[in-house]
Amino acid sequence: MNPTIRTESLSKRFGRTVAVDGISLAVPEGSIYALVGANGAGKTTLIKLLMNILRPNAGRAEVLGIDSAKLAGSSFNRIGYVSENQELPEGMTVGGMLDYLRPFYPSWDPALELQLLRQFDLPLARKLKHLSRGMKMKASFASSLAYRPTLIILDEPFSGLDPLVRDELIEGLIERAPETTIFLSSHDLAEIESFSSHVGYLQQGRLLFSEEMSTLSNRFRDVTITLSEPSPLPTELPATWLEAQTSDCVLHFVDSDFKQDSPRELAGRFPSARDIALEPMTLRQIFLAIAKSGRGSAISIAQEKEA
Amino acid sequence: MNQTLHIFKKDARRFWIEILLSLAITAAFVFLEGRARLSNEDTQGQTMRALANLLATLVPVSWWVLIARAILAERLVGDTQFWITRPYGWRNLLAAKALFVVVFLYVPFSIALCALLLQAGFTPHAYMGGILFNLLLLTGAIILPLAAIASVTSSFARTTLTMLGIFLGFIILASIIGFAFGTSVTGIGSHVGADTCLALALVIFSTVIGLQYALRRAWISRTMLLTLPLLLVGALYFAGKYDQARVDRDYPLVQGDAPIQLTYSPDPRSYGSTGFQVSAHVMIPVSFHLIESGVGEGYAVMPDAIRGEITAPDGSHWSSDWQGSERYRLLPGDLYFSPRFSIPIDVLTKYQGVPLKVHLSLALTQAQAERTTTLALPPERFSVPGFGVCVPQSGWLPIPGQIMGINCVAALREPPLTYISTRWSDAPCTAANGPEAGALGTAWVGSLDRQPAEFGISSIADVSVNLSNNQNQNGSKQELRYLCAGTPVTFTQFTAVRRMQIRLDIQDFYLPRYSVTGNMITVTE
Repeated sequence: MNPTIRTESLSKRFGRTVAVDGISLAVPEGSIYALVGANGAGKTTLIKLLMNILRPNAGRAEVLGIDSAKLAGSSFNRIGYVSENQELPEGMTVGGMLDYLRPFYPSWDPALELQLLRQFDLPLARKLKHLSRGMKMKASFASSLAYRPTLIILDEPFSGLDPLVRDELIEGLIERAPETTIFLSSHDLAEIESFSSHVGYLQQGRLLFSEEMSTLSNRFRDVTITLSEPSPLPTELPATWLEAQTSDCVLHFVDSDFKQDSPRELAGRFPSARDIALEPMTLRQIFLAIAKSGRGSAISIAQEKEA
Repeated sequence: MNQTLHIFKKDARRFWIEILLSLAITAAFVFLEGRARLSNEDTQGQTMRALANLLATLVPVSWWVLIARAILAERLVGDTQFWITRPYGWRNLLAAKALFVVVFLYVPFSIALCALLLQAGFTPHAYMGGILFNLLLLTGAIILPLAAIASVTSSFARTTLTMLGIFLGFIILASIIGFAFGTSVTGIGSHVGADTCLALALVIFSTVIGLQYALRRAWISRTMLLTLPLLLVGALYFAGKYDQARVDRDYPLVQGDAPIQLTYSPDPRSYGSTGFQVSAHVMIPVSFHLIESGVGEGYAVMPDAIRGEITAPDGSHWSSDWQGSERYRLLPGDLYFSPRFSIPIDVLTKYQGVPLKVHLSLALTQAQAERTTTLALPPERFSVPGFGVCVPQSGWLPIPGQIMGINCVAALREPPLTYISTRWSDAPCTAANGPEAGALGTAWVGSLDRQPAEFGISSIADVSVNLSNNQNQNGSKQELRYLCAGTPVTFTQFTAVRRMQIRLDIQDFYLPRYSVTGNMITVTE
């Protein structure tokens, strides 16, 4: 199956600042891919490169099999793009905007449009400039979903929205998921954890890893080993152990390379252990662990995984 | 095409207020301009002219608003516009904006030009070539620059500021050039520079607009726009060089069969001229008082350009380029002629008080009277075939029933070179005295240049008919003269038949003295 999005060593600089640094990435068809990272990590720049809003300094990207640098005109018939920073035609009413956009899309589905309007409870007669941020985002969603795009790209779509609006939008998105590929960026891990199938982590313009959510969850374990007597932190810890620390008889770390036989390996490594607890981690905990453990170790994990 | 129309309809709906305003300004301009140009020069006429001039300024301002608003509706600068990730075809978008400009700017303006011609008494379909040429000039000078600036700016405010900045820059540049050179050096009457600049402007502005719509590369487009002034200066420089060569080529030197004979008269007092003031600080005009003879009946001779070479007794010399001449038109019987050419102030200082040898070259055009129309001056508006439409004027201090002059208009450009002659009456006209053979009043109007139109918002060109001898010197009093209805007025149109160059050597010529007072330089002959 061809990936819906593929990038090869994609880079973008703004003066001396490297915003996107040699990113190679593949987004499988039908996936819900969440691109996460702190503010300023390069998520928006990457998305703008994919949408041909910005041009790369190096590398290339393909979106729906088209070179992203050639993405224009009718290529956007199959792509829905929503961004928190997007300027809508503020002078138009919601209905006016939908009426205006409808003829652009051969696949525009009036029934779906009606359904989305009801679902998002959008006031057709109100001008966009008079709508709240949440309502504007809903209008943007409706106008980007009504033509059943093959790919939906969302840049921080839920940022600053109240939980009710956020849930409504996620619900609307999930309903479209079976027929589309969704690529979204977010710095709020909790909101994407529930529905993303794939995740990529961006830090300072570099993609630290990109994998299926289930693989990621399976790979990380919060490990607590209770030893029989106080012991210093062992030297030469595996690079895959993050945030390793000891306190009295307790050794605590995050294992970023957990496997089926990891418990047995740990038992072998710590024969005096009274207890070994391995807890699954939430996405938030995983990213905090990566972030706190520092860039070096995190990158080495990524490199290890790539190898 | 569907997408083009769709975007066009959206813009038309969205900017209906701006469109209505622009149409209203254009309509008001047509209404006032048509009446003002052929009105009497009294208070009402002056007010109408002032209002028409104001509206003539507002018309391009309304275009600016229309163009900027239409282009900025899908602005081309920035990365957050909603339309850039929608299936817009750039050609469709560009076509939609072009259609908007054609429908709401070109069509109404073309109708306005035709309406103005019709109002003034011209037949619009006879001037279609001129109207199209005028639209081409407007495209290069106003429409494309406005569109290009709107396409490289991100908001109406920025577009406005950029426009104001460019306008201010032009004023400052013009002031600097005016301060340095004044009007002492004029061009030599070729369209090469202007045509090259127009062509360059059309190419650069079109490329910028096309580039912006196709690629949205604002920095490349802005760089291109910034290089345009340099290109224009370069084009003007090379056009100037070409013109110099053109004068030598197009005006062959004649010896024996010159249609005019010129001799130098060393005494300026016979001309009543003792000096003049100029505001220039770099080039100072120097007059050469000449006596002319030999212009044949039915001909006129016009100096187009002048060139001078000065040689000092020590052998050092300085020579000028060809410089444009003042608008002299020499007829049979004319006696005096004082062409000028400008000399750098340092050269003037260097050769002050030294007897110089001056070698003058004059590029002349001989024109032949081709079409003469004589008519009895009607009391109302009248038409002169091949010339324009005129209306008798009662002047700014109207005396009921008295005509103090003639005001004329021509279609799209100044008329062909025309000599107007009539007879004044020293006394107010009454039924009893009627037309009489009084002082001769003459005027030259128009030019030999035959471009189909001049750059302008109006399709009616004002023709100033300043008839000579319009006042009678009665002792110490100056009294107005009158044109009586029924007096014959003759319009003689000239066409160029020959171009030539004649040369004249002047011995023992002394350059004029000058003194500087503030911004003015006084030249004493």
